[in-house]
Amino acid sequence: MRCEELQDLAPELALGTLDGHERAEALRHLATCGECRRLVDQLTTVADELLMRAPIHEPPAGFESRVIDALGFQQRPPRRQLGRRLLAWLGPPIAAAAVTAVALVGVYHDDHVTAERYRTTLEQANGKYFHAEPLRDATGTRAGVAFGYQGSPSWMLVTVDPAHRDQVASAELITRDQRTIRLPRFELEPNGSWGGAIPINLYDVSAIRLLGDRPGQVLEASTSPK
Amino acid sequence: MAGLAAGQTDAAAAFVRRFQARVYGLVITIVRDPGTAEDVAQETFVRAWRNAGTYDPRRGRVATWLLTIARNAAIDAMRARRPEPLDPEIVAARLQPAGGAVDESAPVHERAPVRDALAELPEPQRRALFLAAYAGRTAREIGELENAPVGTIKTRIRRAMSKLRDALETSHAL
Repeated sequence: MRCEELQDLAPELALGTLDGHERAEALRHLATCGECRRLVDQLTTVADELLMRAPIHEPPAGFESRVIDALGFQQRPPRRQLGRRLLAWLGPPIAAAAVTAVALVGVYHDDHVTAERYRTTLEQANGKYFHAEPLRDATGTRAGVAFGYQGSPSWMLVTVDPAHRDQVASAELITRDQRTIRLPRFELEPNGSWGGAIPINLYDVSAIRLLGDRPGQVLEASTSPK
Repeated sequence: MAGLAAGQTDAAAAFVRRFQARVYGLVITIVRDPGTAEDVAQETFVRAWRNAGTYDPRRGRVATWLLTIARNAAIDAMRARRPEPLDPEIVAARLQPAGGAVDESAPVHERAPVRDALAELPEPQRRALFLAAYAGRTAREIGELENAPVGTIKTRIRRAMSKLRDALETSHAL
């Protein structure tokens, strides 16, 4: 990509509306061009300014405590209510994925067929559960999916969306007691996937992080069933 | 932020109190439904909490990092739930209420040029900019909505952003 082409795309890159292919091409150019990086930084400041100009509006009473509950700092069950409300407005594709995930952890008791297949699958390799969560970047943008299997051995598979593949160089596991375990044999395939056995049980892992070469390039997914 | 990343209840509560009106204000501007807005605002803080350890202060203020998360969560909700786009003119009206800018945290001399530049944007440019900035629409999607070629939409967005960038530089030079 030439500087002229990047400058054409820079406003949309700053606004976060470029499609995956163009975004990947633009980021590749920015990695080697300081002048274009400065332009994108300036336009990103404009995009940030637009967000800061949104109206300020107090949420309904009790919002703060509901958020604290949802974060899991207190042992109250409104998170289930949040889940139901989220499911109510999630569209068909996401809802289908969510329903699949819910069925996998056995919450949908009426889905006997899926549950039975899930149980049989796990028994083949002494597994306890299978889990999938989105990988997200620091802004919460979805960047791929992380799958985990609790069995003997436990393993993980990640798939990274094209726009984020250039930002992944290594990976680490974060344990429930906040230790960090590097995955020495991690290397993303050209199709954006990696999979392999992990050195500890999946239920001892709280998250997987994919790290880039530059500060702030982090994709993370929780590995804990809710 | 450190307290949020460390999972401290008091720090989390203070963080939510400090930013909840900004987050909810942005989200309800985009999704327009109070119930959905509350769910999305809540999801925003959950995402922020999960990613607090990865927040890099060198890349921007906490508020803009959090509002970017809120915008993305609201766009996810809109795309999943409501096929019709938000109306840029309604957004414009909410952004610039009587009396001017809404960013009370900015010094007065920093608000006016950007506010004026926003108000002076030709309507087609403002529509394209707001559909991209708040609704996350690509130039192709905006072109379909506005019945205009993609190249025209890209030009509108580029010109609008360029004017705002100049206004921002002016405000910093004052």
